[in-house]
Amino acid sequence: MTESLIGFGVLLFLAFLRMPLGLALGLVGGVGLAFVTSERAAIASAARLVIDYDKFYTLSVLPMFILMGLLVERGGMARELYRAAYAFLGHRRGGLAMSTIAACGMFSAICGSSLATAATMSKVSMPEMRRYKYDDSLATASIAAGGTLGILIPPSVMLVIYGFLTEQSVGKLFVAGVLPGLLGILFYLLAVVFVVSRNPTLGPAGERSNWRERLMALRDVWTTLGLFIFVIGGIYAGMFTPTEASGMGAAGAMLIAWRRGALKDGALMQVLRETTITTAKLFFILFGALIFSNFVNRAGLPDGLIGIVNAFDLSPLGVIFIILLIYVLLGCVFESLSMILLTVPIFAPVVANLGFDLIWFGILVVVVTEISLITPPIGLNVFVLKGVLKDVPVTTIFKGVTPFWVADIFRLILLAGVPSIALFLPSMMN
Amino acid sequence: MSEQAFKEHPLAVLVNRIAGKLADTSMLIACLILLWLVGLTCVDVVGRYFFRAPVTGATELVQISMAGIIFFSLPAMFLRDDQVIVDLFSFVRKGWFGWAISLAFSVTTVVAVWIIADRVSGYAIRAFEDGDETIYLKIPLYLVVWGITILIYLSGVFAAVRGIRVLLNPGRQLPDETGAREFTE
Repeated sequence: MTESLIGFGVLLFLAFLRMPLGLALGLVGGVGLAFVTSERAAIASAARLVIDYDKFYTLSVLPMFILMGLLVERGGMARELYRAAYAFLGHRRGGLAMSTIAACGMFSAICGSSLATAATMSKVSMPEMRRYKYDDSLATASIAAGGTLGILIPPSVMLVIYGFLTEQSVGKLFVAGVLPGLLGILFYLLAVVFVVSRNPTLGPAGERSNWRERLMALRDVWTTLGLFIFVIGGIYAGMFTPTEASGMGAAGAMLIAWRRGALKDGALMQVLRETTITTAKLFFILFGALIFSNFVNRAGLPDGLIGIVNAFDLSPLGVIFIILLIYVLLGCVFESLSMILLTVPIFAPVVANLGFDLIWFGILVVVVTEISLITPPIGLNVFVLKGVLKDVPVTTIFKGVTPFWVADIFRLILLAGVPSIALFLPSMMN
Repeated sequence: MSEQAFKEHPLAVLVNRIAGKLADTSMLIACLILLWLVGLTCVDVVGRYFFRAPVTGATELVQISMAGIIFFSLPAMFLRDDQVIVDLFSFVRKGWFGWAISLAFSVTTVVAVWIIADRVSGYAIRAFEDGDETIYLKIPLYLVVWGITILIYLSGVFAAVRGIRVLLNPGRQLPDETGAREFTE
């Protein structure tokens, strides 16, 4: 266990020196593995991972869902989703912020990235909220918080990575993310209600849409929502494997983007290039994470942690809350991908040993990761917004995000206390 | 030879140009494989549900295609140093200290990639000697593993080219060459 703790310390040091994360994980894992086994065994094990074909099948979900998300983003579907949400919610106090959150939720259903969701929605909803004189703190916070839904509501890149690291079914993880994702939308809407009930001037009501306008708005989004139902419904019903669903989803998104004329002037090639380079980056760090995971397991870190848990006679749920607290604290200094890669190989064996379901734990981890995206000082979604809306100070966004952050903590406690919220749908899967 | 003269030396220009072209070509191949992968999964699903004729060995083709996407993209990733980093203390990569760290990381990358490529080539030789094949389509595995080996070596060469570029800019950071936005968070 001592070796793995030293290794973890060295890893943090190298990561803070801005060594590429994949290289840092692989290097520390490789050297550590050589130390606890032998140099020859460490190199052989690392090289074996590179040509492990079975893993490539699981990983094939990644580029196709990333492609789907990028195509949806290109296709300009975010604007229509926002319009549809506005038609139903815009006339309420804080209605535009609510519409932003609902649109973020719908956009997340076809795009697996929080950063992409936040960046896209900021261009669509911010001008509208400014037109209605929304306070910058509420407007930006609703986008930053709504954007975090991207990594929980399936398809989610982060859930694929978690499934890959813990050898859990990606299909079950996706389906498990649906109810907590909807709960997230509900809690965020309640956060908006809370904010505007305290100070109505922060989010004035918009114009009321009549039912004809509402139906027209819904007509514009049926292709996008249909794509989500087709992809996730197909996995849920057992019609497709996640790989097949991602292929069908990418093809569907390509068709929609093409019909909208969004693939002209080399746009398709640009999207493909972005997808492949992102896939390569992910593979490189996943490869490093697997080597690191091999090392900490061989060095006995999970066993050591289990020993500590037993020695202190902690209740299993108490351990889960301690782990979640560690995640919330780590979220203050790490961005989400690094946090998952560094910690899941260590905590997952402990959680499994305590008898908990790793699908449920995966959802908890991703919800905590969502929280880290809006936690100061490095909440990435906040900085994505800052990049797009240069005139809004970061402190204003962080101030506005506080009620949403509290809503997230409540949701996390609820999901931890009632595992069936996450596990009900997977238990009904074919 | 001055720093500027070294950078403008015909050999340096030629190496940069060849590396750029090779990286673009391998990236183009990765893109085409991705399109093929999307098509393959669609044909497989449609064939299975509408014609009771799924693609034979679809799983194996997906695995090999996925390997293609990953390893054909790696060289460009290493050439541009387009990687995920923990961006907490950006000041550590400034000035001479940052330059020295960048150089050290480049050397480490080249060495690590080379060691892995060397070991993977050993697996390719073994696959050839054992006559390993995929189960359904009987594709000789040594071809795939050799392909992977060559692309890992190429990635190592490109990481070295990147390292030389760092070396030629003493005391400075190379401009950000990130080709893709983060789509992982």
